[in-house]
Amino acid sequence: MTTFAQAAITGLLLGGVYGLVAMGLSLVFGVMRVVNFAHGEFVLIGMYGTLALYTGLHLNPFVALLIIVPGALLLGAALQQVLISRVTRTTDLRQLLLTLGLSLIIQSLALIIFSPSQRSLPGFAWGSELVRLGPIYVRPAHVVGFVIAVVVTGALALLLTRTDLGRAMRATVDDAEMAESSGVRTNRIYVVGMAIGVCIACIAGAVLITYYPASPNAGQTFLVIAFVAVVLAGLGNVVGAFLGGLMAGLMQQFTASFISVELQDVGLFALFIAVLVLRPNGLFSRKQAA
Amino acid sequence: MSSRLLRFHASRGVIGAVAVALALAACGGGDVGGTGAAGGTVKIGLPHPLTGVWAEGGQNALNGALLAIDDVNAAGGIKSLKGAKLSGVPADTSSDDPGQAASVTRRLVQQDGVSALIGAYVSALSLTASTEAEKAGVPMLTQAYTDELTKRGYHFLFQLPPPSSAIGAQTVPYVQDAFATANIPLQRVAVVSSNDAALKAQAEGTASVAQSKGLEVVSTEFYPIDITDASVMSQQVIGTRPDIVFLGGPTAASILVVQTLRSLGYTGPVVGLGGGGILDKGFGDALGDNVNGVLSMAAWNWDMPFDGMVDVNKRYMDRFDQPFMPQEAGESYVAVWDLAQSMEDAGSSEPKDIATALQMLSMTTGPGSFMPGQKVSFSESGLNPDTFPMLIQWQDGVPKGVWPMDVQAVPPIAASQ
Amino acid sequence: MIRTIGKLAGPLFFVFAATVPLWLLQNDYLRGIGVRALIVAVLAVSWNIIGGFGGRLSFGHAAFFGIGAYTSSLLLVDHGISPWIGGVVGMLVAAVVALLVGLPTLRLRGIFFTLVTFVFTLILLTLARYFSGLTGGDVGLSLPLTEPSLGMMQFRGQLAYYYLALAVLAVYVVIAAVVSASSFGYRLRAIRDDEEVAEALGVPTTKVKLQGFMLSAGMAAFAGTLAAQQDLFIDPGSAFGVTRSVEIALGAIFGGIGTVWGPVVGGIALVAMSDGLNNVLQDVFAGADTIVYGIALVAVALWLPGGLASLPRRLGLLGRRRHAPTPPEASMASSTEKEHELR
Repeated sequence: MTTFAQAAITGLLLGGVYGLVAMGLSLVFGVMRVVNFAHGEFVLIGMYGTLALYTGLHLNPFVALLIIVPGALLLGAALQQVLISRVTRTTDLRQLLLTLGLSLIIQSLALIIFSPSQRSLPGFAWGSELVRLGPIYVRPAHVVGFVIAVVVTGALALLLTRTDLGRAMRATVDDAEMAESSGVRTNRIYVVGMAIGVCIACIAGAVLITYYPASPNAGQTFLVIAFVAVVLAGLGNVVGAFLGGLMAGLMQQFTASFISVELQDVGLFALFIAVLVLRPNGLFSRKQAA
Repeated sequence: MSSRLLRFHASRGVIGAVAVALALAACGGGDVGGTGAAGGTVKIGLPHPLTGVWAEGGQNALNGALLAIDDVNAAGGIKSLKGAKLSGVPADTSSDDPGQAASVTRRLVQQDGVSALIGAYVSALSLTASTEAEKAGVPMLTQAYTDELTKRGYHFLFQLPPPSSAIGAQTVPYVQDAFATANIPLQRVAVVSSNDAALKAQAEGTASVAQSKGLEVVSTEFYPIDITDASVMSQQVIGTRPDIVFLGGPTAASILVVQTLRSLGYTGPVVGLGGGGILDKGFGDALGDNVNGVLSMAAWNWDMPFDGMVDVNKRYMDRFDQPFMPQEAGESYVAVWDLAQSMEDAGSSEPKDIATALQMLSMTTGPGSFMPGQKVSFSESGLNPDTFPMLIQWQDGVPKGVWPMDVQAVPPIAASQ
Repeated sequence: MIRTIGKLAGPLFFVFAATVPLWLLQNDYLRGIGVRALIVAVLAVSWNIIGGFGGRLSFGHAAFFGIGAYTSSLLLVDHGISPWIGGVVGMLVAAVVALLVGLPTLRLRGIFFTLVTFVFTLILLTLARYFSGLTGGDVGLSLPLTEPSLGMMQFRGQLAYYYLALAVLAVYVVIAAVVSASSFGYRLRAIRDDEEVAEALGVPTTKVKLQGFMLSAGMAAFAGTLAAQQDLFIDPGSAFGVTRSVEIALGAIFGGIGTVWGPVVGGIALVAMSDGLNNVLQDVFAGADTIVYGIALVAVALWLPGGLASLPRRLGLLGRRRHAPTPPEASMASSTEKEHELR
């Protein structure tokens, strides 16, 4: 029973950050139909950005978010404006090529600038000690990460449902041409969508670096988990992707606890395939399979 | 920028051909396995993973070899070849593509005309690289542990460190002996390791040795190398109340497990299985004070009590800005000196002559002997029978040799406060 | 006249390729790269059956490559069975696996297929590591170095591997050409261009896609056997790694998806480029080759989506029109007309 509770808590807390990564991926896919294979590398930028601010300017990683967030928004907007706009709503193929290319470029730059070693925040031990809560243990860094994830998710949900910008974004998701003919400037929406998507990924990276070391290949791990989370929720279901992330975290921990920690990712992938076979439009969809 | 890119893509087909042609031009003209003309240079191929997950260890291994090459040259080169100088030719095997390790090894042999090879740090990469070396008849010294390397009946492969099975067999006795002096009882044993085969085999070996020594193996856990959280697993391990935890894994995972075990209140000893990340500088950096007391099996350490070790270590630290000379760098360093001696003995830089000399080599003094046991020679299968594994312990933020007595730099301390 | 040249181009290419080791790839290293290039071309041609003609982008073809490699290698190591037989068994196993993976996923939209193939390969990767008693895990499986023998598909130098891979490529190009011209090929393309229309015209879409996927997977498997015999080694990472999957798809895309010759040219160009860059740039700094590789991908995505095969047409049109029309193969799998299927 304790094991069950522990697995549930750990799974949820880790799942929060997975959810963040997945939401960014889902948002970009929903708005622009770009399958972003470089999304893991945006997480990487968040990790290394925070690391650089911490080692260079001695900024607390959570304070560093004040710089990371606007920086990431700008980066996302610039990427969309300069590169991705050229393949938005063209073909899957061109998008895959472009984002794969970006992913390779960012990985190599990380390798060149930050060396291949695994880097964590030197001397930043806060939150890495486990704290006892009754029979279970939590890591404060996980809790903070989870809280940040929930706050970001809430803010994004509000943005999408309560603002004109959000409504325009959802209209674009539903039908870009229709939205455009009714006066929505879709290009602007794409820029904003990409900016937010990259920003959320970078926030996830900034949170992760407080308890998970950065290395040039680290982005890949999170990309795969985000793919799973996004499909669990249904492609393009932005807030649902957060729940998908939570489920991914839970599934990993339960497989690890009750089957074998070695097979934790197999459990996750099995869930993914089961969902695709049984409910291909995602768990939260009322629609039938396409 | 964009116009340059445009031109680039328009002629990409040509570029491929040009790149290969350039490579040919750049590397061509190498005297294939030349006999080392007077005052010439003898090339040593250094295929190592310089990109990807194993890049840090690969770079260390390469650095160790480069330092030794400069040392050999500063000492007058190969005297029997009229002072011929050594020159190292690095090559990137990548971390995840053993096919590329084979390919770059062919390049080193065919185009650069290297007389011998040192590499490739990672077992899988060393396996394919050594197959190419064997086919070409070029001797290769390796820092990799896996038993598979010397089981294949190759004649041109020389494994400097003890194989995994020897390290696995010694782990439990070493720890028992080292702790016997400190009077710490070790009865209940937990084994936690990443599931990559080399470590997994070693972990299973350790568990069975522990059992045969009358210890009780209370927990055996294997985790995936990219694990992001270890609290559930650690709790399960601690729930079995182990006196000692044997741990294997890459740096990030090992850091995570040790951190988690410590913050869950486990104070007993943690012992690395050897290989993997527990000997890494990053491991010490990330754990801070928590690292002190952690033990690990190793094949080499910078503080072994041989004449000249202090100097080698210091120059390595200065040149590459490192807190200590890591094991893979040390093994490469020794390997270069052994090659130099073999060339000296053979009076030739022909790969086959060097291989013959390596088979008859017996180094008991100088940098070429700087392995535990202070002797390097090779059996018919390419094993180095006189070396043995050692136990190190992190103290004051660096790994120090604690067992066996022949290579002890400092006595072991209690695990953790 | 032009038709005659077109008919002769194929055989001429193979005659030309057969002479390359004599004047360009003059040592074993370069021939080894030649073999790698041909193997990637073989894989790209296989991938193209479902990815190009069928329009279903698989980012997990490493699964079938790896299945082929492990099947023949295990049969060789454990039972001494010749890789020729093992390779054929591997093709059958891969086709059956493709059936099992394709059955639930090929009826879904293309992007799901891409994601499932991507993740399925990762499952195989994890399992290959887990069952290390069988596969050797991450240390890998070493095949015994024996006396050279055609029957056991093992040679000392790279030249024999080169001609072996070239022969397989020739067979595969013929298969691709036959498929392309057959009614099966037309149905595959009809599904790619508009699945609903194809269905309305009475094409059994799921069945045709499944057949294409099984053929594609079976063909890819034999390349795994070739690669395992070339290196006498196979390990989970190189068999089932993401890099391998990407390399296979990119080979086809580079050259020109949906054409018979595009994947051949693309696969070869891809390996020539990456190995050439690795060779030239390794002294500049580690990782330099990857970065140029990434830039090249971005460039193709932006300016040459139809791959090398579309180059002549684009160059020809550049003078007359400001905007070259999107080649038909680049408009496939367009998400624009499909977005209403989503929320």
